[in-house]
Amino acid sequence: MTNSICIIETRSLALSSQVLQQILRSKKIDLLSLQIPGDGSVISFICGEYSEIKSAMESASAISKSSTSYFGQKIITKPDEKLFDLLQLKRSTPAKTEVIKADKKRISTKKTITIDSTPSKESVFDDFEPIKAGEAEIPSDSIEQNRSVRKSLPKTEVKKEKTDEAVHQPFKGRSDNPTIARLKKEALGIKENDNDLIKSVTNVNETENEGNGPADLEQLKKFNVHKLRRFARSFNGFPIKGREISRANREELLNYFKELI
Amino acid sequence: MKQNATGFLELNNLASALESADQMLKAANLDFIKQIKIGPSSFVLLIKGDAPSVEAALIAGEASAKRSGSFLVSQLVEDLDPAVEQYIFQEAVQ
Repeated sequence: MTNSICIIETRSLALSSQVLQQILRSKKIDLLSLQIPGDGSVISFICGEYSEIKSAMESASAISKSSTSYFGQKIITKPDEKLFDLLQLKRSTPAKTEVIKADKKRISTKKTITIDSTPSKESVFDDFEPIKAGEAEIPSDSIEQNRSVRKSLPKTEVKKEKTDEAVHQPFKGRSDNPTIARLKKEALGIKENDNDLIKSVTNVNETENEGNGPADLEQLKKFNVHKLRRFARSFNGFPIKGREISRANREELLNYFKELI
Repeated sequence: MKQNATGFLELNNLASALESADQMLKAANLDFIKQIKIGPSSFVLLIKGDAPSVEAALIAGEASAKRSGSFLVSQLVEDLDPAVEQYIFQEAVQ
């Protein structure tokens, strides 16, 4: 039963805490408030039974005598209800331990509420199970559906696929065309026999590269500039490359071949 | 070690208070230190830790404060009441 309050004023926070430590050892006294107004004083309000407060204050005043700081105290028995409003104090406070427990509970409930209100990322994927390679079972319905979709594809799409292939490999069909091949040979000045010659020389060259054997110079002398350049480009380890080959004349190319062979 | 001791060091000068705080932190391993201004020229350094550490820190802080002539009070309180602690640390946070 709280039938009286006590106001303690000190000029030191250390003294105030020491005094309160002594007073609050009694289980029948509760701390209502501790205020630091900012003018150098520390004011604390306690409540409890008059007899308990009286005895506690006697021990507190004994402590304060050892300190040089100011210590003042006043006990008010049976305070009016309006006094609590004036001092902005709580009318009744539960036991100290209960206050702390209640605070802890409040915090814990807040936590649970936040967890429930915002679903975690894990909860979203709870229903999904990872499928391992080789263990996945494809439903037969889905395969049938895919087949039906393929069948129902319009012909225009098939044409599109063909045109795409043509774009990626533009000269694939043309090389097979005999007229284009003939025109190409004419442009390069290659006859049927010359073609055979190139093949033979390239074969010799391949064998030379592989086995370091000699190439036939007489056959090379029969080539014109274009054929020699072409052959030089295909020759592995030829001393000049690219533009230099295209700029070199027939004699220069033959000289290079002589050096190599 | 259990943190069951609270230390108070009151001074009348902010510069001395900071110097004392430095000395206290150097003297002992403290987990909590706060400064509260309770008046126009009254500052409290509030420390928390195990009793030997707090005691050592208070001795170092007191010596520093006395050198500068700004020492008012120093106090060590063991097992401070939770209600008092709650109010004091609430003030310290503000």
